Amino acid sequence: MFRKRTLLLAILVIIFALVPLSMTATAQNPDCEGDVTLTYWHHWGGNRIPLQEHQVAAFEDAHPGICVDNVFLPWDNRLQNLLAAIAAGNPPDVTMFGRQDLPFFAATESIIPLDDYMAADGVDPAIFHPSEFAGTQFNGKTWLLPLPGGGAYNIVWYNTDHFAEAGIESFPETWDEMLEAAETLRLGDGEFLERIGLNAQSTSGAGGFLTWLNANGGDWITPDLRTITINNEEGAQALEFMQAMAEINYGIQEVNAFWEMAGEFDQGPLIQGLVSMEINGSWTLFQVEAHAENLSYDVAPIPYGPNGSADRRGSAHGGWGYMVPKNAAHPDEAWKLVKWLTTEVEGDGACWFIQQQQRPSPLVECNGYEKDGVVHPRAEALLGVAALDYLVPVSPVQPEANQIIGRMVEDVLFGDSSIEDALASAEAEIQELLDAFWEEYG
Amino acid sequence: MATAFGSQFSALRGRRRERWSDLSPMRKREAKFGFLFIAPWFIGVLLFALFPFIASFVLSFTKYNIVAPPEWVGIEHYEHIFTDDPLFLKSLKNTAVYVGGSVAIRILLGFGLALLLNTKVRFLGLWRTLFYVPSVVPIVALSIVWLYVLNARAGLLNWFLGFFGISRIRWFADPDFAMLAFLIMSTTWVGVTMVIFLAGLQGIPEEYYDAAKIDGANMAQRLWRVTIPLMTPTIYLNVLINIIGAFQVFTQVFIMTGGAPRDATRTYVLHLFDHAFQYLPPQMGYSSALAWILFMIIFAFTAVIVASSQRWVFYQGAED
Repeated sequence: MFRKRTLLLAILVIIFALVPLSMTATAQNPDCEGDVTLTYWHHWGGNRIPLQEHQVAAFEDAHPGICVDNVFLPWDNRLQNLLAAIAAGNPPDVTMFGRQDLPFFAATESIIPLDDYMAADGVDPAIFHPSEFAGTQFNGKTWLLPLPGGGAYNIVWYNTDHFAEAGIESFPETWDEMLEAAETLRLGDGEFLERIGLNAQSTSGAGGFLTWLNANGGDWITPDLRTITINNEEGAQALEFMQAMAEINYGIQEVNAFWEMAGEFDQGPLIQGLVSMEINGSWTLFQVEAHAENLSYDVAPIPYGPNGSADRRGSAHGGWGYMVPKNAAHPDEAWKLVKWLTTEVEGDGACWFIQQQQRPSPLVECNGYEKDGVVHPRAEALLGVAALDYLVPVSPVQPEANQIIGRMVEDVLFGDSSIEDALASAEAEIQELLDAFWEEYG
Repeated sequence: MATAFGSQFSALRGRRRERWSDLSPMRKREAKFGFLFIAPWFIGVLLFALFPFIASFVLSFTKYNIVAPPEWVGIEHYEHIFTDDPLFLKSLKNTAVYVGGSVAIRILLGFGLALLLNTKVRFLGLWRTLFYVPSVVPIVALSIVWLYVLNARAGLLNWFLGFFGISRIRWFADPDFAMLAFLIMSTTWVGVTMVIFLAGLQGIPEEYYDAAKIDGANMAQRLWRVTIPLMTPTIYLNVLINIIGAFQVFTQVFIMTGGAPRDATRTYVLHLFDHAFQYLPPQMGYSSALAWILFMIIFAFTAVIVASSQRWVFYQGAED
């Protein structure tokens, strides 16, 4: 009797001890029945979550026997989660993946090349826009398929009411015009802001620097990804522009303090009226329509700098895709899901998902701005801006490089370093990291 | 409280070790149950504390990017940390400021609150609960709340300071104020310190105060001559706990500033975390070396405090 009680107690203790280990956040369709359950990680937050759920349910309907654990994870912790899962030998079957992270994962072959699957299923690279497909390549292999479109990451969204009130009739084309407009649009008492014309640091690309460098005709890294090239006239002019813009906005500290009011989605700075101009990606259209349908706005390409040109404005830094980790439990089925998420045009897959958000599609055959047979009235303007995009290469040490460049920008804007010293120091620091990478993985 | 711990340890030390075969069936059954109940904790410690502890020490001498096997590099990481990592010193300095500030705040404020809440005031239970409750709120939620409180433009604190004519402070945008903001936030956990102090205060016999009163001691003298000496074991415990915790400050910094502005809030563990999980290739070996240096620093602080405690910690009834 005593032994039985002891045994029962021991079992209970062990069960209670192990329960926390088995708890995971899952969003699995309870109606799905299948022999294989794929674990799928993505970072589509906010009002894209229901679109993801619909897309995954459509995949399950089209692929009987395969179910999907649809797991939303925050973007900020993506590497932490992925690396921990790979280290534990339990990675997801499919995961959304920043193209800027590709070189390291491909160089270490910790993800599966997709070329054989593509050949077997007749997935022709030509179904993607060439610049989109180019971002999926490393060492001559295809490691992920793109979605969403990497282009149109840097569009100027501006409040036309603010422009009308300020008497600005045409959108600035050059940096000098941009500075003048930003000063006219800014509201404040000389010390504290009430409205920002433009926050030059709020764009993607390492504290905004890479965006402005690109708009000034500069390349931050050579095409072979081996040499950093920011310490030059284009780089110096980009920093001077950012410095001038910060001064218009009463200095970097006030800009950053004011920016604490801005958030994501319905808390976006343009939606809240905190700014007159916001540089953001094509996804902003979906956000504006969901949260501020009465906002009077228009879009324009980023103004170009003194060494820039009118036909190279915005920049795409990497973009996204879907990949299959090396130790995925079900790689063959995982490929089917990747294909659905990136190439499907007929069912509620890749094309449908992009169209619901009204943003550029990496698929040639899919017009991302056509929803339910109707082309969005802003489509022409947005695609016109996207046409001036330039694909900025990403380095194998991008996360740390971004931090170094961000620190360089702060050094200058806080007045702790001259532009020349800051550029030279950052270039040397990133080059050292890059050399170490290629020495080990090249 | 510390006296109670001391007497229990003394009792354990004095007890003769008993062999298993000497135990009665009842004692054996009790022992089995004992082992059974500590088993989950023991397994947990082995798996999730001791193993990573040892593994991280070995990894600190390797280059390890997670996806490939570790590669032995000897003391290379330690050399690099001490000679070529400017953020090591910067983050250590920031952490030292946080440790000094937050420990002082929590000890002084916690002790002050405990003294107040050890008196016969109305709604005593309510006050004690109110001061303790913030400590049990998840830190992520707390961080979000504090972001609003310390918002430069619309924050509650700046609004309050405005009544005293203090101009808007850019808490998280000004490198001179950013760490101070985290020190202010550290008052959130003062409830834990306060509760421990309260337990200590309630262990001081009322007779000591009566005797002091008869001798003509005023309130300040009673505090200085009776309360504080008898509270030194509790102060000692609180200082140790708070120092060890403060050195590991991470979550709120990670959520609220990520180390900005100008790395003014880049704490040591945030620096360590970046090397492990934010950079590519991941630098687990380097990160482990950073972790071990932090461990040694905390260990050294703890050792100094423990060693010095003989001079300033007084136990009731203890012989000199």
